[in-house]
Amino acid sequence: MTDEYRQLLNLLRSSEAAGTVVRDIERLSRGIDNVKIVHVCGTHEHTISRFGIRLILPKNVKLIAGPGCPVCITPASEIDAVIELALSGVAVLTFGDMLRVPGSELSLFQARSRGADVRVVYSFLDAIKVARSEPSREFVFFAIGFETTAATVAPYIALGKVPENLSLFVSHRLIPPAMEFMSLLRHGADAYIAPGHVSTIIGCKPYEVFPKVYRQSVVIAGFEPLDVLLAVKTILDLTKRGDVKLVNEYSRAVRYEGNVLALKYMYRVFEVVDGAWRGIGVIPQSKLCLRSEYRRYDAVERYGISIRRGIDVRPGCRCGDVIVGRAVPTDCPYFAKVCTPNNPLGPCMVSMEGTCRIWYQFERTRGGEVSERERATEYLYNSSS
Amino acid sequence: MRYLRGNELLSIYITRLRRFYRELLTHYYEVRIYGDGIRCEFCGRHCFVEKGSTGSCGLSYESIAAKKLLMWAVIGLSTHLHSLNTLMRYCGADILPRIKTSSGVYIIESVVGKVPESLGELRDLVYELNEVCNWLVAQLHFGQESSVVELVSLSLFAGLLDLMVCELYELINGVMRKVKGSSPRRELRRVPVARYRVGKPSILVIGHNSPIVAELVDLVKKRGIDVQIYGLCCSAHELSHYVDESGKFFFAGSLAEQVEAVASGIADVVVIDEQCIMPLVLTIADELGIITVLTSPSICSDAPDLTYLGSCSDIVRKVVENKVKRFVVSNVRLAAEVAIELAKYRWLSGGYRDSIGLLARCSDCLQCLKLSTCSTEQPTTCCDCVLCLEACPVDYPISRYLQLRTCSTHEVHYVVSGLDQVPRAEIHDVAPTYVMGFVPGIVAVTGCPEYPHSYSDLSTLVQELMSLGFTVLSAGCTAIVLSYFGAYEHGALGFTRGGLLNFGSCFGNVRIVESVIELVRKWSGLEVRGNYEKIFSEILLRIPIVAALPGLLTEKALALALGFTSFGIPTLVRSTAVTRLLSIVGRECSKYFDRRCRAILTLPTVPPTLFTSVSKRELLTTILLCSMRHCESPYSRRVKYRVLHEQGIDIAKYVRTFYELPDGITVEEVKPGYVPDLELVVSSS
Repeated sequence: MTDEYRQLLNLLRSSEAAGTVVRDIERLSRGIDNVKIVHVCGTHEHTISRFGIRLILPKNVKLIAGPGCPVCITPASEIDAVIELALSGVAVLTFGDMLRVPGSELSLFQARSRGADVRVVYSFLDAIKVARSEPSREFVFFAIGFETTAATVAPYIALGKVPENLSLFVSHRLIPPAMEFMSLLRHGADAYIAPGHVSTIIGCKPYEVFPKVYRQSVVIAGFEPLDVLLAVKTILDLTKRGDVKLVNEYSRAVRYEGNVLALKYMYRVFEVVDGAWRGIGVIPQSKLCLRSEYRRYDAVERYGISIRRGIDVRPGCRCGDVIVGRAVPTDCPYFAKVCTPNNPLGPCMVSMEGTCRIWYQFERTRGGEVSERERATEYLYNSSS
Repeated sequence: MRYLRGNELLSIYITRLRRFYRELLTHYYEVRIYGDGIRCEFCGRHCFVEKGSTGSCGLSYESIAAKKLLMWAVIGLSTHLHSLNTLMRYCGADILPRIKTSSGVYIIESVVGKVPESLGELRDLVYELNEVCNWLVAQLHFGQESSVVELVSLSLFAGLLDLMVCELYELINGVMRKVKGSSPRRELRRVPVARYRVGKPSILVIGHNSPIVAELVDLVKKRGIDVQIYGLCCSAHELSHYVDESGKFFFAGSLAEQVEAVASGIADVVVIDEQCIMPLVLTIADELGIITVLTSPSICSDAPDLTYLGSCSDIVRKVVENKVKRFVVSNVRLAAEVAIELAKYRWLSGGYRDSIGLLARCSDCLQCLKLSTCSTEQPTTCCDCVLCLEACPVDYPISRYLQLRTCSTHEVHYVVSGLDQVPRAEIHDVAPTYVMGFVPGIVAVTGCPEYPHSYSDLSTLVQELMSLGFTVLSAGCTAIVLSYFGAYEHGALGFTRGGLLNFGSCFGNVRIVESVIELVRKWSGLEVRGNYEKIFSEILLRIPIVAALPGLLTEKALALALGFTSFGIPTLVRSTAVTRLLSIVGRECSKYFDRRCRAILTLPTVPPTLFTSVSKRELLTTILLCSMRHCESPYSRRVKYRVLHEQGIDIAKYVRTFYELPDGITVEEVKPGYVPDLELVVSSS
C-alpha cells in the first residue's frame, strides 16, 4: 500500500468526517417522509453491513439492497447448462464464487466432486493462460458479472488473443435495466446509490433516465463508509429541496463519459439482448451476448448447448424477494437455519457479495435493533483508524 | 315423511307437473293485450321516465338501466352456477374427493381469504354461492333496492361471484377431464375445424356440456366406435381436451354458426345441453329429420322425457318406432349411448340422404336463418341446378349447403386449445417484460361472436395488437373465430410479447383473471389472501390489461364482463340495450398527480369501467387508451402514442415526459410551446 493511498484511505475513514456527515444526515432527515434508498452493488451492501451504517441512520431513511451480486442473479438454467457441459468432459473455468451456487440439481462444486473438470480462475487473463498451457484440452470460461467484468473480457476477444481451445459461456448482465425494473415495482425506490465500479466503465449517461423519467435521484458512490454516508446525505439533501438529480459522488474514479476505450471494446464484441435474472425473470435488454462475428468463441454454439428452464428459487426460499429488495434476509424462514454459507439453499447465501451471506456475517446478530445504534456508531468511528 | 333432497323438486316438475301444466294450458286462449301507454318493466305502472323525470314508482331512468344490468348479471351468474351444480352432481363421490384445492384458486382466495381445504368446505362454498345468488335474484323484486350506485355495485358483486363459480367449475372440470382420459400434461393441442360432413355417422354437440362430451369421447375411444363427434361453442373447447390422432373429433364452429352447422346436415344426431342454444336449431333439426337428444329439460319445448325407459336399446327402439324427433335423456351416460346408436342407425338407414331432399324442397322454413358475416366469405359457386334458389323467398343459398355437404373434403383450420392455467413459472419468467413496458399490455378478447363488424375485422384487430407487442388472451367463441384466420398458426403461443393464448370455454375466462393476479403477485409482491380490494387496486393501477367482448350476446357474457370489471380490468363490450344504457359507469376520466412531470394528468381509465364500442377503430383506440396506467414505462407509452397519434387522437393530455414520445413525433407537434423542465444536472462533491 503506497503512502498516497494510505493517506486517502485515512481521509475517507476519518471519524471526524464521518461524525459530521452523520450529524448532517440526522439534521436533513427531520421533517421529511420515509426515504427508500436502493443500492445495487454487493460491495455497497458489504460496506453498509460491516460498518453498521443502517443502524446509525435515522428511522425514516431505509437502505435497501437491490440486485447487485452477479453470482446471485445468474439463472439456474445457465448454471445447469455449464454443469452439463462440465460433466460431458469439457473443462470449465470460472470465478470461485460461482462454484457453490446451486443450479436446479447440482452446483459446479458438486459437479467437480462427480469428476467434472471445474477450475477456479481470478480473471479472464488467467483463463487464457490456462488454455494456452493445455492446448490439447477444450476449455469453457463461464463469464459472469456486470459491465465491470465484461469490460475485462471484451478486449481479448476483440484483439484476437483468445486461443482456439477456449470458448466462453457468456452470462454478463447490465445494471441500468435492472434499476429501471426496480423503479417500476410497487414500493420502488425513491433514490439510488449507483455502483462506483460499474460507473467507472459506463459513466453517468445510462443513469440519466432515472431523474428525467422516473423522478429518482441517483448518486454514484464509492465503497468506503464515508462514500456511502455522503451518498445518503446527498440524497436527503435533494429530497429536502424537492429536487431530483444525478450526482457523481465518486468523481475520483468515475467520469461522465465512462471508460470510452472499454466501452468501445465491449460493444464491439457484445450486443445487448433480453436476459433472465435469477429470482426476477427476463429483463429486456439486460444481457450481453457475443456478436455474430465472434460467435466462434461462443460455447453455446460450439457445443450445441440447449438451455432449459431451471429451478431458480426453491419453495419457501425468499432469495427472489431479497434480490429485488422486497424482503431482507431475516424474513426468510431458512436464513441461518437451514441455509448457511456452508450449505447454501439459495444463491444469495453463496457469494461474498450476496445479501444473505453478508447479513449472515454482519447483520444476523444485530437484527437491526435501534438499541445497538450507539455501539454501531462507536464501531464505525473506531474502525476509522 | 322426509324432506326433498338434491334435485328432487325439479324432477317432480319434469316427470309430472310439466305434462300437467301443458295439458292445463291447452284450455286457454292466447290473449294479446294492447298497451295503453308506456308501463314500467319492473312495477307495471304508467311510467313517464322517458320525459326525464322519475317513474310513477320513483325509479329513475338510470335505476331501471341499472336494474336491467343486475338482472342480466344475475341470470349469467345463475346459469354458470347451475352448470356447476350439475357438474358436481355428475362427478359425485368418484371424482370430487380427488380435487386438490391447495393452490391456484386465486379468485376464491382473494375474496374469501382461504381455500376450501376439504370436500366438505367445497360443498359449503357452493351452498353459500347458491344462497347469495338467490338473494341477488330477490333484489330484483319490486320495492327492493333502487339506488343506481347500489344496483351497479350489486352487479359487480354478481360478476365477482360469477368468476368464483367459474373458478370452481374449472377446478372440478379439470379433475373430471383427467379422470375421463384427457392428456394430463398441460399442452397446446391442434384441433381441426370442420364445418361439413366427412362421410361417417356424426354427432354434433352444442352448448356447454362437459360431462356429455366426456362420456361420448369415453365411449368412442374405449369401444372403438367409428363415429365422428363435432363440438360447437363451448363443447368444442371441451372436446379439444380429448383430441388424439384418430381424426374423430372436430370443431364445428362458434355460437353464431350453430344454425348453419345444423342446416348444413353435418350431423345425424344433435346433442343439446343448455345455455346459448338458439331455438331455431330445434326447428331446423326437425325440418331436416335430424334427431335431437336433449340432456337437460331447460329447452325441451314439448319433447318427451325418455329417461325413465332406463336402457339404451329401449329408448332407441321407441325413438325409431314412434319417429320421435327430439327427446330428453337427463342421464348423461345414457344420452351418450343413445346418441351413438341413433347416429349409426340414421347413417345406415339413409336418413341423411332424406334430409337433403327435404332441404331441396324448402320454400319458406328457413327464412329465419340469418347468415353470419363469416358465412358470406365462403365459396358460393354451385354446379347443381338453381331451382332451390328460385323457390326460396329469401334467397337463402341452399345450393351452397347442398354442394358443401356432399363434398368429400372438408374445411380445416387449426385452433390451439387445451390450456388450463398458465404455469406460474412461465408468468414469473416474463413478468419483468410487462413491468418494464416491453410488452405494452394484455388484451383479453373473449365472449360471443356477435360482432358489430365482420369476423375478419376482429382478426385484423387481434393481429394488429399482437404486432404491437400486446399479449392477447382469448376464450369462448371468440377463440374459435380467431382460428378461422390462422391466428394460432402464426402467433407466438405463450404468455409473452405478441403471444396468443386460448383458455377454452367461457368458464376459461377465469384463467385470464388468474394470470393477471399471478402477475400482480410478482409485480407488487402481494400475497393473495382475503385482500381482494388491494388486488383490485393493483390491477387497476399497474397492470395494463383491457378486456374486450366486442361480440357480447348473452347474459353469461355480460356477467363475465362484469367479473372482469369487478377485478379492476377496464372492459369493453358491444353496444347492446343494457350496456348502452349503462355506459354511464365509465363516463369520467380519472385525474392523478404524476410525480414524473409534477402535474395533474388525466387517464381514461376509471374504476369500474364498462365501455361500449362499435367500430374497429373505436375498439382499437379505446383498448390503447384503457391500457394506459399511472406507473407505466416510457417504452410502453411510446407504442400506444404512435398508434393513437396515427388515429388522430390528441395525445397531448396524456404525455408526461418527452422521453415517451415515439420517433418521428416532436414535442412541438404534441405540445406547442412545451419546455421540458427536467434538466439533468451532474455535479461532483
